[in-house]
Amino acid sequence: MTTGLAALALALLLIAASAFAQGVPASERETILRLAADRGVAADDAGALLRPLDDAGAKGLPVAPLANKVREGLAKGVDPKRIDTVVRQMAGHLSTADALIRELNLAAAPAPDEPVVLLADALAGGLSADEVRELRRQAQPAGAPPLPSDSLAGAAKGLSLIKSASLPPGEGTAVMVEAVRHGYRSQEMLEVGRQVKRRERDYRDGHASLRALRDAIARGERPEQIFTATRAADVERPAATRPDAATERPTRPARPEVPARPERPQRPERPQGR
Amino acid sequence: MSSLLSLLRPLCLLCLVVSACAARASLAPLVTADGVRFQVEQPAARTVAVAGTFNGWSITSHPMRPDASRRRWTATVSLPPGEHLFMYVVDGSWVTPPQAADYVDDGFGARNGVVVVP
Repeated sequence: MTTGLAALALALLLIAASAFAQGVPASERETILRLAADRGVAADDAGALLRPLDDAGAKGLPVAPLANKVREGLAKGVDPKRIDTVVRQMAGHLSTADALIRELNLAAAPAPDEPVVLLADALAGGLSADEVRELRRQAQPAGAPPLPSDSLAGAAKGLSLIKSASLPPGEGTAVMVEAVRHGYRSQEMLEVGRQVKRRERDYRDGHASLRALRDAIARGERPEQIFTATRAADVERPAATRPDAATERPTRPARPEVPARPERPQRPERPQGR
Repeated sequence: MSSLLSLLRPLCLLCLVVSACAARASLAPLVTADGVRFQVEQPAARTVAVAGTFNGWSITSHPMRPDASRRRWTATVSLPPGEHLFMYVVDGSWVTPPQAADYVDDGFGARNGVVVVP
């Protein structure tokens, strides 16, 4: 009887170990296969969708965002080959992000997967590994304690948002370095990046400047102070992005969302001699 | 009488514009004490759901309910702090949210909305 129970326990342990050694929980694997079957995806193609997840899991990379992307693709009825391509790209970014965090000798975050996912997002958003290295070099002066990985990852994601607005990456780096120095949380740095991206035309036309933004951060202002001051003359921020939106408040009329701002027509030449 | 009408007409027009703007603004997901309230106007829809990273892109787990006029559909979802990607599913078709904190390419040729829970 005891031997039987021990054998059963060993068998269960082996099953659990094999499920988690590959990084994809058995329930997730079953869900993906079921979704694929519901969508009429051939069993071989469905199995192939799990392969990049298994590879990532074997390397110790976060698997959840990859599994979520597979689910998204299946739910949207995307061709499995296209899903595979996108998931492999994501896995590549996760791998690069993981390697960068190790290379830069950053302090561990409480949830170690989060900075990897955030940094991978930044890389997917167009930031290069060299730009991340430069960000870390400026944000962590020689002799200073190691930068927390979640702080650098948040700054990198914020910078990728600024870069996506086609603004000078050097000035964007300066903004994020200042944010890191002033102890901004990841979400605050993302908020800064998002606000700049939303007002990209103002920044490009000179109605707002990254230098002024950096100065405001250097004065110790937080995003809710910086962007509340400019909100009256700016587009409406959806309630979900307001740091003070913990409770429901009535909405007010708003300007259209960016990037829907229409092009300004050219002003006609003023006639001379009046 | 006609002068009164001519005075009232621009005022009515202004009210219409303001209310249209207000309606548009309120389509952004709203963080409430009960969770994030997703809302979309789909007067001709028979079924509407919200799907995203928070529910594994399930098109059935978070159905939205229409208001009395069946114009506006809402669903309140409890979400943890952070960024969440989402789209609406209207009669089985995926629809990019008309308003969101940000948008990102989904890699499959569409754009997901971003909602941020502080």
